[in-house]
Amino acid sequence: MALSDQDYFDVLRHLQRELRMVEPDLYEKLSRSLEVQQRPRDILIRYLEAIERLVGHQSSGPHGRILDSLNSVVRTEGGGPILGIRVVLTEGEVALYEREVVDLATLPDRTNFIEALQVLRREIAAEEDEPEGEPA
Amino acid sequence: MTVEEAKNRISDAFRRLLPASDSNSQDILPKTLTAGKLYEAYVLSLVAEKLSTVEGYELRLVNSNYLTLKSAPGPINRSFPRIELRRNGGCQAEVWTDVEFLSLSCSLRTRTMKPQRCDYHELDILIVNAGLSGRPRHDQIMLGVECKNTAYDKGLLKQILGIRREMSLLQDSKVTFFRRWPRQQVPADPSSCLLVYSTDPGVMQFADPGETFGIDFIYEPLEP
Repeated sequence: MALSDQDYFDVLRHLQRELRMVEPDLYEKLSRSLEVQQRPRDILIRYLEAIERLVGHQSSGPHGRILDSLNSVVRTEGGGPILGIRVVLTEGEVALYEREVVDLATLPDRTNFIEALQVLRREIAAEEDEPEGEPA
Repeated sequence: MTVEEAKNRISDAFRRLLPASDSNSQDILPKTLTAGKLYEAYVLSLVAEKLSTVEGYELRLVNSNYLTLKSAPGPINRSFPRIELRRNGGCQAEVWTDVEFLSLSCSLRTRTMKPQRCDYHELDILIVNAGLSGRPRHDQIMLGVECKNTAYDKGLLKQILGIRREMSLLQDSKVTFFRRWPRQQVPADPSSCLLVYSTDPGVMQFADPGETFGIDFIYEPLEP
């Protein structure tokens, strides 16, 4: 049975509360771009999409695919494959965080979390709108 | 699906599937330092694939066995890893990441002053003449690429239009450095190419000015 507009807002608020608890920065970022003039179901769907996208970019999930793609066309000076993808920190960051590089393969793998949200989002998107004026 | 079911599935995803922070030193690194870097690497892999398969270059990573990005942009440092574009046994150009270039407006003013902060801008990926160090001039750029893994808005459009302005003058179409990809001609002098890759499908709403000024907008999501 399709949810009402108020139901979708209820789910969205719950989603926002969960997000704010574990990822407060991401919560603030997404809140700034929330387009509340849309239909509640569409707001919820777009919010889920945005979480999937932004969490996905902090996940090591795609790392292997990206490395494989690079290694299909790039070789090192020694003729071998690229071994990984790193981010080099500035001098000040090195002094503060006591490390020189961040290996993107060591980011947490959030693939299962993202897929769970994707499945939920697709089910919500597939639900028919409840006809107006008819009992639920 | 009921409201309670949806809420329970959300709570379950956050509490069971989102990995809790571990206790090593990496935890205190702000996420802003690595945010977007995976997407930058992904776009670089797409660019590399085009340069190899369409343009026919041999791509060689030098100075490291790791693809290395920077947490903050800066001048070219030749001890840093780069990708050489090689053809017929020689290096034709170099691919650098997170590099600042000297603006067109800087080149038009007196050359006696040391460049100030307003005189250079950064791009996520740059293809420039081989052998450069420091900040390349605007006329030493063949291709600039901006990677955006956030919602694309009008502010970002204005930003990239400014970058285009500081790379080249608007001109009748001129031949680029490239045979086919990303384009053979561009309405710009110097004839550098400028690409914007975005994970937001909304980026294409802002693409029309790019046709006038020679900026190519590409919607390219990164699948988890």
